[in-house]
Amino acid sequence: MNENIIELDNVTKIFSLGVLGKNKIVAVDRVSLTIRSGEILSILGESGSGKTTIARMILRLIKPTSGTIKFNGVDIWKMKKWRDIKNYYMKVQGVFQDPYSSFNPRRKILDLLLDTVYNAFPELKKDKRKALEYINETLEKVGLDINTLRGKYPHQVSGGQLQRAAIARALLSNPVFIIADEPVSMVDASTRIDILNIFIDLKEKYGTSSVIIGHDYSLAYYVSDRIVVLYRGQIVEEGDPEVLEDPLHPYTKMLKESVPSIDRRWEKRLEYRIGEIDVTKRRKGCIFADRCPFKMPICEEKEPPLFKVGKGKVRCWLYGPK
Amino acid sequence: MEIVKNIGRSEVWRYLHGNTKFWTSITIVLAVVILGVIGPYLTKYSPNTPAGAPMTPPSFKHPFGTDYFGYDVFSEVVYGIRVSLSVGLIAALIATLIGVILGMIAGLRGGIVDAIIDTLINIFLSIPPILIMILLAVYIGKRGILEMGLIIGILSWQWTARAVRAQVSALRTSDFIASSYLSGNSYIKVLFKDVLPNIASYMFLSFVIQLSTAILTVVTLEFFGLGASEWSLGAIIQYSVLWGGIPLGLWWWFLFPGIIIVALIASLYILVISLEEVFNPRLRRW
Amino acid sequence: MTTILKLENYKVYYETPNGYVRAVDGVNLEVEKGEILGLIGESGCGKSTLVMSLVLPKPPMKIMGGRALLGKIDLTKLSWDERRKILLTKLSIIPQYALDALPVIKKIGAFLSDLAKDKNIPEDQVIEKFIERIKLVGLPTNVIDMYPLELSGGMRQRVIIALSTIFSPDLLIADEPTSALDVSTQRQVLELLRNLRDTGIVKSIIFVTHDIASVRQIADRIAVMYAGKIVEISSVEEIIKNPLHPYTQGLIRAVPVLGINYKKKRLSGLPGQPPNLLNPPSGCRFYPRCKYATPKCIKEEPPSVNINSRIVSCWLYVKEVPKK
Repeated sequence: MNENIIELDNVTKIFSLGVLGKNKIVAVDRVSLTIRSGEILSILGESGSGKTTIARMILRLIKPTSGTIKFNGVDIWKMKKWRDIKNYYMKVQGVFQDPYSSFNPRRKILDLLLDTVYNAFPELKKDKRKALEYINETLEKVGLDINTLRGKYPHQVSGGQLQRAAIARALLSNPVFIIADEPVSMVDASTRIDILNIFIDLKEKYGTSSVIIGHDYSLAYYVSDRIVVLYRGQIVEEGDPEVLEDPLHPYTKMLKESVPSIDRRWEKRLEYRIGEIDVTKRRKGCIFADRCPFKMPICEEKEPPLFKVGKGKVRCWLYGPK
Repeated sequence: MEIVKNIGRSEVWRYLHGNTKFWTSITIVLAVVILGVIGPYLTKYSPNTPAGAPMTPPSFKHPFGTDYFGYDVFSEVVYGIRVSLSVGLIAALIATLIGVILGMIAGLRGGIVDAIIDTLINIFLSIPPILIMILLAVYIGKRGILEMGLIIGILSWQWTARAVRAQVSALRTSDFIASSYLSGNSYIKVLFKDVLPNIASYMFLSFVIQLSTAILTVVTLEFFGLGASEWSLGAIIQYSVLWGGIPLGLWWWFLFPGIIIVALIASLYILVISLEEVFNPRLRRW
Repeated sequence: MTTILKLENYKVYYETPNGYVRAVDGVNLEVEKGEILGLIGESGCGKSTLVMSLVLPKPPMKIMGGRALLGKIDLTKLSWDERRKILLTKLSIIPQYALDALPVIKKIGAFLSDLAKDKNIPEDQVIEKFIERIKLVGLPTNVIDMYPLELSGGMRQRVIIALSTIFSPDLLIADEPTSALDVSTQRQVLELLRNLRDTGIVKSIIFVTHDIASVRQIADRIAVMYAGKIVEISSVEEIIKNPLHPYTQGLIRAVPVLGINYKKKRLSGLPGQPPNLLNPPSGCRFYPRCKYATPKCIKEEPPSVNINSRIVSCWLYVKEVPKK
């Protein structure tokens, strides 16, 4: 149960922009993370936190600048043969934020699902009917049926239905791990819970692990066994949902306070300074210091490590050795 | 606005239906092509032997008149269309094919493959093609339709390649290409299943553009006496200039082939503009 | 209380080759002076069409009937020139894709002088007003000399808010103003909207969204729209605590409250899909997804009934009148 499926070790990604790569953006900054078998991990962060970059690096779509990503102990960026990469994809799958952009607008939805089945189970190539039956079974797991999709192009179904189809596509090869990058942010509020429930069902029925990336505190809280909070490429806090119910890091606190919740109304104004972040500049010391209301002199000087506090971890000098 | 997006494919035809630019230009292009195809059966004169009295203005017997030597200009023109169009067509096909393949590979693979192809494109962009074409055409001596098409084609693909490369580079990082890889599709499969269909309309447009520039190039080379045959549109105009068609007032000798060249190239350009409106909804007027 | 906007049997359809899409189909709605009205519903329910048609009805959108009274002006009968006169001064909108609404190659200042020319107001007056608003939304005044490209999403959204309220319109429509923003900026923008109303810069706001949690934070009343019709209107507190319409109940149940984990409580979303508005179902448009549906719901459309100043369109709340 506690065996690690994916291990990120000190992974950094730096993007170079501008003429001759003059501007450097540190998208992911020395992130070490393990994903255990049979768990749902939420990565919580706002835009510019590097959450999407992490997803694309795990999916072998972006190469890390340094550090290693291992799947069952094998470095995924050492794979060179297409056969190895394909086998990796059959085990590790992804779901993207915008369902309409994750399907080719000029191909029928079922065609891509059939591709996946044929690539995962070449023996089904001769038996299209059986392949479609299998697709239908998988679609039922996500609350769709094949007749909703038959003969249709992506723009002919609703966003919620298409996102379910995208998840079904990811499930077809029987993966052991799925990474979903903001899978519900483009779908209606009324269907978000049902889509998250799919990942919970998969975990409970088949032991499939997943990473769900998002920015909504209540949704991340609802769906996960463990939560990692990301700010400007660094992990700032980590723990199980109970830890995050009463977060320690000032950034996590701010996130929690900013999220609108249906059961209460904001009374006082938010006291955090929400400055605009210049992503091309890195500061000395703590990355959150410029926005932090609890800033101390040490925060400007030295970068805090991840301190263990109780059941969780937090990158903040407030919780360091006194 | 989702509702508008959902109307689908039949909308393209609906849009074409009321598009005067499209229908006018396609009619002219087709008329010239048909003239080239069936023209030789309409005339009883061969372009290789004098057909009657020299220097007669257009008449029922000779609709485009006769030239300085008594050849029937109509026969020369219809045979000329065949030659010039064939060379242009072959050149455009070759240029589009090379351009699309190189552009697609560069765009989809990225990295070092992209860098090499991009350098190649830039080299070809920096050399003046017409000069090389003239040199090559003189050098090879035998200038058939195929040879001329090849020479023009392999020197004109760079624009298509550059444009296709840009289009495909934009696609490369898109989620649906990622989904296709995740589904276990290899580069080649992604190329055919996902990239090609998405640039198909674009490919067609760039083929039409290639065709119009190729015809212009063909006619220019022919005018310099480097045509694939004695009877080509450019060559007729060259003869009319060389043998005093202008000072002698034999306007029909150069005017008819000239009109056909201009009409053909202009219509092809207008065709591209009208098709762009159809393929690219942002250019539509509603 | 005075009514700022009054919609009576308001209908807006889309003209498509396959027939009319009945996106807004007989809406009755009143916006009172001084209130923030939340208009919620799933995507494709017609809420964006409703507000866009008030501001800028353009093909294939077509107003098919009813009245839309902004004060004494009937918005459905305005010519283009008359409409231009009231835009920004009486009626204004923060559009859904506001982040891309600004022309990228123009400085914000150039945009202001265009505005001054269009409205026939001296330019320095417009700039003065704008600076007032820019301070209010918490941006530095030098944004006038900046290009939209140089601004982040949150800043651009605040520039849009400053621009759209520059002439203190009576009614401000905010169409999903926060959906593209980060949570921390989202809260700022919502608080800003409330502030605009509290200070009287705008008299009333219609806040369009699919996110009940954010509408909960600033709205006074909520109107729930489903498949082109308003199914329930009531005050925020009442609708959250005790939703009447089965659709509203489902919507609210589908939103997690902060602090619920799946291990403690499994939530469920709203099953089914909204109907195709090209051929909406007869009777109540919600019946295919409703667990209380009766044969009557399939046959007859429910009337709007008033229960303790709450309005709901559902047969569950219609008292059977004994037949004579």
